[in-house]
Amino acid sequence: MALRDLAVLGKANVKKDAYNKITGEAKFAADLKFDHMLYGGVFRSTVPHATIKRFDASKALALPGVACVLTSKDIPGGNRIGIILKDEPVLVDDKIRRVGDAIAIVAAETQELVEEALELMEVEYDLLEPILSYEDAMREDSAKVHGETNLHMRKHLESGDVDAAFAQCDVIVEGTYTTNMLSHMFIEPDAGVARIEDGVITVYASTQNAHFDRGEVARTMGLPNNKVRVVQVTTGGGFGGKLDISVQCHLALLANATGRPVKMVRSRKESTDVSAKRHPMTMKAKTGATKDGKIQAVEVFMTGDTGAYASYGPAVIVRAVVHCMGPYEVPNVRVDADFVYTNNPMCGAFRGFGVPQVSVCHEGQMNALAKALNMDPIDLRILNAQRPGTVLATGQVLDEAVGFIETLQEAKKKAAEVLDTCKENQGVGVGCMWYGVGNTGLPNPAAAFVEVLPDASVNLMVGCADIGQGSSTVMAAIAAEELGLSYDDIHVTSADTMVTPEGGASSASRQTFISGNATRIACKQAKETLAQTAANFLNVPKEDLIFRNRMVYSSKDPAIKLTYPELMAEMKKWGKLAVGAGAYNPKTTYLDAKTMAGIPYEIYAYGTTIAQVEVDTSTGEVDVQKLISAHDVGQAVDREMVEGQIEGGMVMAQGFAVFEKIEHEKGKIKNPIFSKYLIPTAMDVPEIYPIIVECPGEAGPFGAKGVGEPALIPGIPAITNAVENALGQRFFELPLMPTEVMKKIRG
Amino acid sequence: MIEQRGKGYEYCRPGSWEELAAILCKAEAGVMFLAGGTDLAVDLRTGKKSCAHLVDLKGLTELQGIAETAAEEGKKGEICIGSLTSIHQLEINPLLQEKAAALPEAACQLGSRQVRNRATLGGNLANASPTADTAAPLLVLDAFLELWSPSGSRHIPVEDLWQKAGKTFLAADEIIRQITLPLAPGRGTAFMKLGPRQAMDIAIINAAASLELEDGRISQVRIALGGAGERPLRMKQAEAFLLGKEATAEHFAQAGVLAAQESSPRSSRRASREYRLATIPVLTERVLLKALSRLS
Repeated sequence: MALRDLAVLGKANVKKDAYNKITGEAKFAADLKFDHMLYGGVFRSTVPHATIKRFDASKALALPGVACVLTSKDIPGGNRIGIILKDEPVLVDDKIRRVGDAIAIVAAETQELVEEALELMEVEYDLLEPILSYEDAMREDSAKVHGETNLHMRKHLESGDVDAAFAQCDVIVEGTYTTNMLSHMFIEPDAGVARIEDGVITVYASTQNAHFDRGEVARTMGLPNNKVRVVQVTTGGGFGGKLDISVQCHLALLANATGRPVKMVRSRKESTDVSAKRHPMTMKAKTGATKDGKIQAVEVFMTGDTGAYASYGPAVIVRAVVHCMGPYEVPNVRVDADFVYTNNPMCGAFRGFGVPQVSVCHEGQMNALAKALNMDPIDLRILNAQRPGTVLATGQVLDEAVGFIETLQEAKKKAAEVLDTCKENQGVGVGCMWYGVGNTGLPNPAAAFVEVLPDASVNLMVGCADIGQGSSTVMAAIAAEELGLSYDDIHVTSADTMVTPEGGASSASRQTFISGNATRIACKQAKETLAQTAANFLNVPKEDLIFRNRMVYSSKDPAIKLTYPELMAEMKKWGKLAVGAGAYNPKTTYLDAKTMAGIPYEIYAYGTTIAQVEVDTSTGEVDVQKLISAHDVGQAVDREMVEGQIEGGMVMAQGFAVFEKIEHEKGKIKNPIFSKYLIPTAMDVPEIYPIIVECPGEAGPFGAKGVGEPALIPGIPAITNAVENALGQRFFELPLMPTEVMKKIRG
Repeated sequence: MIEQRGKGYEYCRPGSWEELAAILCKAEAGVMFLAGGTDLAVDLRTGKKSCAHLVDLKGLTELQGIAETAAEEGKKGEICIGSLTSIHQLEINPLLQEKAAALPEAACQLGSRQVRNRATLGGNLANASPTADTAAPLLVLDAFLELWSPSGSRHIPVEDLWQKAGKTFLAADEIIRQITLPLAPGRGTAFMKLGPRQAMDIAIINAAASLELEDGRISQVRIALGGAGERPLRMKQAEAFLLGKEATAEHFAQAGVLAAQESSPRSSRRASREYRLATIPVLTERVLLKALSRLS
């Protein structure tokens, strides 16, 4: 691509949500208040697998101030929800499949009364055999969580001749890697308010996908989509944990039953107990290479536990399979994956959709391979790196926008500059990743509406939920660049189903790419009318016009120009309106059912992290000291936001590698709160060196890809590999807690 | 005096000792005392703990404050700390920083800033966690406590406060009124804690030490550990071993091994007994070295 000469992109702007958040004016769902508002709560199961013998809410209903108690019988529409498969009841009807399943909901005058009412409800269970592990689930005679089998999904990917290739390899490394169930610990617990006005149920919610929520609420209520309005209010993070329905359907039911606004705010415990978790996975890998280091074959068998409901599980398994050989050219690949239903906590989307898990595996393998070959880990990766023209295991041929080698080189350069000379018990490790942007082999469109107003300010309407990651800032910058206006000229309205078009989920690192393209297409459409009007006025061909810095001028003679306000006056004179609607769906194909061949993603992001750690061999403590992380983002829309994503991602990677683990027993989470589920504090955060690499290509808006999840992934294996290299030991299970590290040190 | 209904208990906040005595004489059973409430308020809400009467001590303002009594003829100087003094006040107090460094050093590692603003020294002690961060420092600072109940006051060494995890020897109507630290000008004291995270973490084990030297040899030493047993403990065999010896890393390491021998840690969700036994010598040695470095 030609040298990009951009007026707005690639700089740093004040985030659209910064002022309100800093001053405290931003209203989160828990801050909303309406007249005559009731409070809602959920009565949940305390057992993992059972049928309900008796449920009695009479004492709760007798409590003055309790407005209603609803069970599955009170649902006017359908009683199954779920992002991909509709397998989760809004309120339990046939049976309980996990601790925390919703049995009944209550609305009352105060939060205290809600809690009192919940304590007065009585339930008796007929217990069923709980399925609590992969092995449990796969036993032929075991109880079934859903239907006839506990096998939730089985996937197979194959390319080349794997067995023949292994027979020719000089070096083969093997390892079985285990990652644990993790919790997002987004800072704002799920919350929302529902109310009914003019026959429309409005749900204000903390969510990552208002348009999905609308469909689920409409089906639950038996209403047309246009009688439900979902408004995403200021949302305190999600990381994938707010893609599932949380309070939305329950609120709509309660508001409908009482005719009053109803609010629900989950406690931290309730939020962690029932929101989706990161899939725990076990990955058995075999990697073969020639003696000069060229990888010939990779074989992986992975198993995962999706818990009681599918949630985003199908997307996790497919993405994990497609990505598990790492960002390398591997001519022969065989992957098999089994995900099962159990009565454990539901697992779903969590920053990376399975790629963080498989990165621990493929980078653990690379670290072992580099040692076996006695090769420099960066050189080994460069030798095998995906590059323009690489043929993937899915058969897809990569285009020009592949910046993996550049991330390796940039990270290595920085390492030479900032890393310390290695002392005893210090180690340096490399971790890499690739990430297909958008949903895997599935349509996932987004749209945008734009209107340039008479004073040359702009209203941009996108479905894309800004949950703090900065999508509204990104869309404003893209619109400003395309229209030739300034960033401050653009006002963004986002994720309100009565105002904005569908944007799809703020997930899969897709919004910069997909809603960004939709925004750009909408702006191009509005620009058509603007350009025609300007061309008529300036008497030049409209193809010659350049829109930039609030001016429109001829590329042939910049003196032939008019300002944007002048242009808008001209538009008014001729009765023209500058409006545009854009939609974009990535160019992918469905994957072959047998071999998974096809085009799963239109573009890929790449990243390399180099970590320096020091291990206290007397206590097993891992001190993560420095993290260098280079990311190919195509084109940085906003440099500071990209750096912020990388820094935040690295901190989350540190948590994944050394602290975090959801402990559960008999389906019950034992550490659902911050004092027991440790995430890094500011005191733990290492020195982070973010590096932006730009290999733009033609697909993204001005070449932009996505960085939300890529920012996390390579940090995890980099830290693990650094610890391995510090101690000369291999680690196959995360997190690297002091107690576990000590066991290794002491043998 | 404020009175209101709480969740299953009567809340009251006496403003004087007389009022407190009257409440305690009237209440039959189920009295709990509320100080900072950083643990108790949470436990009452989640139902982990319950009581009939919640007696808030924050109305007794004289329970807050840190003051020094200078040394006099025949009497050592001391620092007196009101039991409701906040952890944050301990953290920033120059007197303590200068003369009893282990305590502010522990205070600044307890919980979060918000917790430290509310949590109190007396509350931390009466809560009787085996890893209470202020416990080990008070043990090595040789602190004694003034206890108060309607039937009178008494003094005990801080060591005699705890029975086991979550249980003290305080009578049902008894509170900690004051914590007194006898001053010893020549000593160096230090505190360290071991946990996976650098802040806002409950210790797996914690340790404090106090050292004095005379002619290059150890003339006074106290070592205390949290997480080494059912309650915070002095490591008396390790201390006896060090007394009279030179303050060397080798001796400190040997003392650490002795400390592990006299410990009986439990396995818990945070760490196994084995891990605690393996790290007790390390932390003991390191805290002694740190205390040594504080000797002028």
